Amino acid sequence: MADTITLPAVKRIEGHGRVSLFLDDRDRVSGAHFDVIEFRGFEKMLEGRMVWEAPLITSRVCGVCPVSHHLAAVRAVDALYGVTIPPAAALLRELLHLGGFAQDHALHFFFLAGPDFLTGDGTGSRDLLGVIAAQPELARRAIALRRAGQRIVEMVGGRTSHPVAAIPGGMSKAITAEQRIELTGLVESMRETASIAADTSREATLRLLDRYPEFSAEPVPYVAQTRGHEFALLDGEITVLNPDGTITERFAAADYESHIGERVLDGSYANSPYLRSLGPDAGSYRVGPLARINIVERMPGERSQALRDDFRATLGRPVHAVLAYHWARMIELVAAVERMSAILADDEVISPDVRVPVQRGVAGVGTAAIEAPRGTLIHSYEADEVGRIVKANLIVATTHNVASLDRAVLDAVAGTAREEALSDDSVLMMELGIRAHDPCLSCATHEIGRMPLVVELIGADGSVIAEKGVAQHG
Amino acid sequence: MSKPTLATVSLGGCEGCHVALLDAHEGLLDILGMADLVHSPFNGTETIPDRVDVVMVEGAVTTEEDLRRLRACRAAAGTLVAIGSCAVLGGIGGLRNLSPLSQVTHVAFGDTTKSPLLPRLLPNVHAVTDYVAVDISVAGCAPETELVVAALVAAITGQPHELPRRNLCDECHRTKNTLLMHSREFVSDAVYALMELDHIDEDSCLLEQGLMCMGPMTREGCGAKCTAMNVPCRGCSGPSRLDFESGGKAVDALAAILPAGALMYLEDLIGTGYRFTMPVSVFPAIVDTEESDNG
Repeated sequence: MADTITLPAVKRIEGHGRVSLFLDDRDRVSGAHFDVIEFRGFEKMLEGRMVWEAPLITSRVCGVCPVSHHLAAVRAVDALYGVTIPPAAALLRELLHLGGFAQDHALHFFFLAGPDFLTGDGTGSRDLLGVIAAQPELARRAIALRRAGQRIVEMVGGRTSHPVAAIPGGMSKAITAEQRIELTGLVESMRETASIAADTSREATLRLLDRYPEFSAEPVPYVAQTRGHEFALLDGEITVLNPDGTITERFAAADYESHIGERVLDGSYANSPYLRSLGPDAGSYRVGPLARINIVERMPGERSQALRDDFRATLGRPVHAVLAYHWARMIELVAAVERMSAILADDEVISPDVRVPVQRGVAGVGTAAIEAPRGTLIHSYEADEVGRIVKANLIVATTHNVASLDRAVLDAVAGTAREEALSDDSVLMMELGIRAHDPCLSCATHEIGRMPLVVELIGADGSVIAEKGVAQHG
Repeated sequence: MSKPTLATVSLGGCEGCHVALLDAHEGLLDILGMADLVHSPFNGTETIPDRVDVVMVEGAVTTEEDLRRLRACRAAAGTLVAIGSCAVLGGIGGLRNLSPLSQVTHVAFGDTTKSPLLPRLLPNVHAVTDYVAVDISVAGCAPETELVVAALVAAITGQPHELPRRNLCDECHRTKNTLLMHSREFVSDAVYALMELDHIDEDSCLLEQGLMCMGPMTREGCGAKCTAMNVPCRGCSGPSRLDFESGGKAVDALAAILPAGALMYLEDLIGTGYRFTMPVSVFPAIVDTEESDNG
C-alpha cells in the first residue's frame, strides 16, 4: 500500500480537484494531471426529459454560473425548433447573462483568487476573511458589486440561483419602465468598482508575472465565441486563434463536432476536448477571459477597449502567460458593465413583445454555444417529435481548460524531486496556476469534483507513492 | 467566551447553496460575527476539526467519498444543518437513479476504465438523511438566501427552527378561480408546455391555463418567484409534508382537474413530478446490481 501523507489542500476554487503527479524512474516529476473526481451524469439524466425543460434542469449543473447553462440550453432549444426570438428578448437574455457574468467574475477576483494578491503583507489569512480584514473598503465594494449583479439576475431571470425566465421563443416576462430605472441604477453602481478592479488586477498580474516570468506560458491555441471581431458572449461563431496569433477556424456551434474532439481520460471523470485540425496532443486549447481578450478586436465600450489595448501593448498577442487570466477577467468585468449600460439605454429593452409561441412536433438536433464566465459552453440536444430528449451533450468551459490546467500544474513542479514537489511553495505554485483559470469543478463536465486539492505522487511503476491532501475529515 | 464554530461542507452537487449563502452579501459579515468559520470552500482552513458547533452540509451523497465526508460531518457536528434539495431530498442529481450506473457512465465516457484512485460512484444518489440524522433541514434548489441564513442563525444561537408548512399556492399571487370552485368541469383540455401558449395570462393560475405546475405539491417559502415570472413551479423545495410523495401527489391533483386523456399528453410526469425528490420517493428507481467499473 502507498504511504499517505496529509498536508494543506487547494481551496478557493469552485468545487475541489485533485492533482496527480507522475515520477519518472529517476524519481523526478515528469507528468501531471488535474483530475475531476466527481461525476453527476447530466447527459443521461436528460434522456427522456422534455427538451423545453432543459433550461430548468441544466442550470443545476452549476450553482456558480447557472445563468450560463440556462441560456445555453434555451438557445439550443430555439435552434432545434428554428425560432427567431424578438429583439427585446435577445436584449433581456444578454442583460441576464451579463449580470451573472459580472457577479461571477467579481466573486473569483475578490474572494477566490484575490486572497493570493489582495491580502497585503501576507500576515493575514489567505482567504475571504483575509481580504475583508486587509482591504475592508475594497471588500465592501466587491460585495456591493456582487449584490448588484445578482439583483440584475433576479429581476430579469426571476431568481438568482437557477433562473427561470428564458423560455424557448424568448422570455417569459418583459421588464417594466420602472424596472429599467432600477436596473440602470444597479449597473451604474458597478462602474467604479469594475474600473478599480481592472486597475488592481493589472497591477497584481504584472507583479505576478514579474515574479514568475516563465510560469505556464507555453504557446497554445485559444477558442472563444465572437461576433465577427466583436466581444460577444451570447451569439456568434466559435473562433480559433492559433498560438502564433492567426485566426485559423471559424465555425457555427452546430458544427462543433467536426472541429472539436473529446478525449476520455482514465484518471478523471472529465473529458479533455481538442481541436481535430491539430490532433489530440497539439490540439488542446484554452478558453475563458484570456482566450477572449486574445481573440477579440472590438470591446463593447471605450473603457474596456482602452484596457484591452493596454493589455496587448503591455503583454503582446497572443498572451500565453496563464497568470494573465486575472487581468483579462477584470477587463471583461468592465466590458460587461459597459454593455449592460448600452442595453438599458435601448428603448427596445422594455418592449412587451418578448416571445413567440413555439410548437413541438419536429424531431431534430439543437445546438448552441455561449461564452460562460470561464469560457465557451456548448449544449446540444437531440429530441424526438414530441419533444423528448433522446441524446444530450454538454461541453462545459472548465473541461476545455483541462489540458491547460495540467500544463500549469506540471510547470509548477516539473523535474523536482518528490520532497520538493510536495513542499508548501510547490503547492502554492500549483494553486496559483489552477486558480488563474477559475476552474469550476461543480460544472467541469457536470462530472467534476470537489474535495480540496489532493496531490498524489505516482511512481514510474504506476503505484501511488505519496499523497498530500486534506486530512480525512472534510 | 469564545464564539461558536461553523463549518460549511459541499458534497455531490452544484455549490449553489453556498452561493445562496454568499448572497447574504453584507449579512454574511453578521454571520461571521456570530460564529468562527473554521472550514468552508471560501476559507483556507483545510480540515474540519473534530468538533464543530454547527456544520452546514450541501449536496447529495453520490460517491463513497461523499459518504465518508458526511459521516465525518455528523461525528463533528453539534448541530447538523442540511441545506438544499440535494442534501434533504436527494435533489436533481437523483434523476440518475432512473438508469443503471453503467449506462450513465457509458453516455459520458464510453467504456473507458476509470482509475481506481477516483472516488467510487455509488449505484444510486442518496439524500444525506438516508445515512445520518439531521437537526435542521431546508430544501430548495437553491433555497432562498433568507431561509439559509435563518437556519444557520437558529443553529448558531440554539433557537428552534421551523419552515412554513403551507403549499406554494398559498403564496402565489395568481387567482385560482376554477380550482377553488370544485367545479365538475375540468380546468383544461390538455397539458401544454409553457412555450406553446399563444398568450400567458399573468394573473390567473397556471394550472388553469393548462400548464403542469407543482405549486399544490410544493412547500411555500420561496416567495413563488417562478410563478411571478409566468413560469410554472417545478417543485424544487419539495413537499410541504415529507409524508407525501411529490409525484404521486401530482397525479392526484391533476386527476381532479384534467381529463384522463390530457395526462397522456404529459410525456414526462416522472421527470417533472420527481425532479428533486427521486432519491427519497418510493418510486421504484433502478437498482443497479452491476458491479461498478469505476474504481
